[in-house]
Amino acid sequence: MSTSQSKAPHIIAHPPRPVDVAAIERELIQVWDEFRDGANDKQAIMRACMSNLMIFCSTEQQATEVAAEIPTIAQLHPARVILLVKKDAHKDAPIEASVSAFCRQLGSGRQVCSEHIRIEANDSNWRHLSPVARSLLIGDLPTTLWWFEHQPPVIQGKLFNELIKMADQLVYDSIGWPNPAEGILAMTRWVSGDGHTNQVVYNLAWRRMRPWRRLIAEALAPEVVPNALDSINDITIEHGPHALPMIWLLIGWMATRLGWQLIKGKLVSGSEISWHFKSGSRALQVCLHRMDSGEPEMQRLMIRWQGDGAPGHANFAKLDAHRMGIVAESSTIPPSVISISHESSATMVARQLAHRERDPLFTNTLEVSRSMAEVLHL
Amino acid sequence: MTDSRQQNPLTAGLSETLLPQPCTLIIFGASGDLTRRKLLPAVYNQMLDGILPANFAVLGSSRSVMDDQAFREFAHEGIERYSRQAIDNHHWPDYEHRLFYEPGSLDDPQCYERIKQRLSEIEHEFGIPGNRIFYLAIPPSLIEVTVEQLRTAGLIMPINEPGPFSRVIVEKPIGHDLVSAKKINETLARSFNEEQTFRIDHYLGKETVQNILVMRFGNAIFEPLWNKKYIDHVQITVAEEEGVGTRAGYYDRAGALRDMIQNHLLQLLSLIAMEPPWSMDADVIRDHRMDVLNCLRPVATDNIDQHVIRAQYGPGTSHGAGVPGYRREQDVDPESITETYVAIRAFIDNWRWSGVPFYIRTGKRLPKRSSEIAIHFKAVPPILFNADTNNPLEPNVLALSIQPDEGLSLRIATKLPGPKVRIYPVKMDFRYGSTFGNPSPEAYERLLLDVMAGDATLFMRRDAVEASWAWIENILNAWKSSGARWLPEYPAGSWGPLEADRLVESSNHSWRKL
Ligand SMILES: NC(=O)c1ccc[n+]([C@@H]2O[C@H](COP(=O)([O-])OP(=O)(O)OC[C@H]3O[C@@H](n4cnc5c(N)ncnc54)[C@H](OP(=O)(O)O)[C@@H]3O)[C@@H](O)[C@H]2O)c1
Repeated sequence: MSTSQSKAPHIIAHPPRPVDVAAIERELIQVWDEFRDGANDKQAIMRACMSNLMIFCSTEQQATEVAAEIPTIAQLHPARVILLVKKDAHKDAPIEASVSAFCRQLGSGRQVCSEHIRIEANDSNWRHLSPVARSLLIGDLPTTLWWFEHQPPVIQGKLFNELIKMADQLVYDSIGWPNPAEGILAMTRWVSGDGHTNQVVYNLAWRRMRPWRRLIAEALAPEVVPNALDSINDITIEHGPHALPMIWLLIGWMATRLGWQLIKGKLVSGSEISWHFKSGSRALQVCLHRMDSGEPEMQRLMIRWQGDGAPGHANFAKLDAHRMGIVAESSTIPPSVISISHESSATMVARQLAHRERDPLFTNTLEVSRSMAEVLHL
Repeated sequence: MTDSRQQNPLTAGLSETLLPQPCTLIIFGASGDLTRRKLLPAVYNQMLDGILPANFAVLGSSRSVMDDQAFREFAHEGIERYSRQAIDNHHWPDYEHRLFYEPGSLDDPQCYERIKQRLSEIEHEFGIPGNRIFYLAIPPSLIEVTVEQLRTAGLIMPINEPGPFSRVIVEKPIGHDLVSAKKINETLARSFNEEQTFRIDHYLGKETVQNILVMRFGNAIFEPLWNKKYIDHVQITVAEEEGVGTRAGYYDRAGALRDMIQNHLLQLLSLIAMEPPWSMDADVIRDHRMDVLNCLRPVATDNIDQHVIRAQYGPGTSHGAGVPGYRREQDVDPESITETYVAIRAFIDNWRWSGVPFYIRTGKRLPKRSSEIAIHFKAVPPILFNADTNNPLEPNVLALSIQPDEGLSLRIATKLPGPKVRIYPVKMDFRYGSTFGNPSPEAYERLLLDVMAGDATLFMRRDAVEASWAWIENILNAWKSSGARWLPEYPAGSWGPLEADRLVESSNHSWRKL
């Protein structure tokens, strides 16, 4: 049988080894030597490295969570990963460090793909985190800062400002932010502010909305449903807890691309927000309802339009864990389904590491999102 | 033709490449080997990866009597065996729901009427705005009748009028010689503009092949060396381990020169030798590839054996077992003089490549399946580390491997550790699969997506197909007039005939060991 179905490559992880901060590089060389000596055929060990990746977390639990994801990153985008943990504990102790490496086994030998360095600081010595990180970055390679904390990065103030100066790219995730409107305002101010250089800024929540954006764009394409996009007058969205920042971006995107102007917004209740836009003489309303339980994602999106011809509506929904599509019974357009490929945050980050340019669409969307936050007068 | 992407403000920035447009893929030859092994798995993988347009369907047709359900089972079996990603029961119902089948013979006008009817039902059901891609996965002899019938039935949309698009995909071989290739191209041109015509050469869909341009023009260190001053010679090899297999009927009439050199190897040659294009526009790239074909020196026919070697595999070994020679294979004429191996020394007569030999070879029943392009740089001067004439340094070689593993390697000289200066060649390897972890999509996946998006960069243009036929026709004519009754043999499982070794040895070169 000739089949080409892919098999997951075998990753060998070197167990983390505590080390003095000053001896990190020396210890890593030692780790590679051990890999080489362990290889049966005494093949040369190759070290592939495409980026530096600094990851910031503020709890032990986050650090454990993200550490488990590092082999995934190593597999897709070999990088030197520097995990920076700022623990909330107060103790008068020096910064702690450990090193490990990941090696992907190939048919004919071994190849070290990635190194993982973990640096832990506490309340008393976190100021040393960024100088230590700086000394560990590999020159000549792009550097990304992945903000793993569930808070907007700017909230960390000085530490964030120091770390971002070393990076070419910032990756964060607005899902789960305790106060989305405040977070959006803070981040848009920072993105458009004078203080920072031209880092690529990437929000994983934006990436998660891509299948929805594609489905909406294709299902309501002018050649499929003429005039629908030009005559939308009502949008209703149901979403799970913590998904608000993501939905916010979706509305911001539609407003940017379809030329809607924001008129007003209102926090109707603790679980409901509405915005009013206009486009030419047409008024349109967007309502968001948060459901009491469920995954932090969009569950249902109803778009209504009133063109020259008959009015129409489309009910976009998450059909199950693997698919989303248009529900025939409550839509005036043909049903369609697309697959959702489930990507972990680590996979999304690994793919993003190779991107070196700002996404102007995201930046524009962020601007509209900021206006949407401002009109709520929170 | 209107392009939906320009009208739809929501598609901006959704994808880094052109977005595939909603359409129906109509496969003629739907019961065949290509459909089962490549096309249906390619569409399935695109769906799993979430890159297939939401409004999309497949309508297959061939003479075999099947209904939609039987076609879906045929697809299931093909995908189970050949797909890059395994069948996923969560997604299978959505996939099979998009598959339809209409039996009929391609010379029967009624068949097209039924297809027309089915298409309008499918397009209505899936919200497809009339965009159609006709994939001709059929014997080349049927292309003419199919295209004529499609036109007569009004199934093809003219390109210059606003509205949905029609595109056609044709497979190799495009013709048997220059005259028949021109005839096929003229047939296509009567119904489709060149912009609507996509001639597939699946080699161009492979990651490494696309990486040739990036490597050459995205790195400052290679291009300054990419010329006769620094490159000694180039070797392009496409080696197959398999014998003629079940394709004897076609192959015995075609041979390696038509089957491999005319398309795949000349396309690789033109990519490796082309001048820097000034944009990534499909026609700019194709113009530059075409320039190389225009500069290929016609092979001198009076002493053809000094430039072109042909041979046939004899009995030998494959996969550790004995195998018969070519003439003893099933459905092969026992007196056949069809070549299963070709090696050519070619020259590109332009400023950049004047005097640099390009050795190209392909064959069946070679020791392993392996395709690569190797750039052999000139040796360093015979002084210093290269002063010992009995022990010359091995020159640098940059090898681009296309299959089975995609990647590139560079051979460099390095000092072995120790007090004495001892120099040793080291190969630095970069493999796509291992560096980037996730498997690359199959060539057919990439190419089908390009057709849905209307991007013709990786497809062969009419002039290139005809230019490559014109070049090899010279060789075919010389062979014909030689009146040969037999060909040199090489044992199955070897790297080809001794004559091929002599071809390169006469210029002090040797074939790479793969
Ligand atoms: N297979 C590959 O990997 C491959 C690779 C590169 C290029 N190609 C090219 O792709 C084309 C198809 O190759 P293949 O290997 O799939 O060939 P195949 O297995 O022989 O299939 C030929 C198809 O054409 C159909 N057909 C033949 N005569 C017909 C007629 N009069 N009316 C309607 N349908 C007819 C056959 O179906 P019925 O018998 O049911 O009618 C079958 O579905 C050829 O041009 C080949 O050179 C194939």
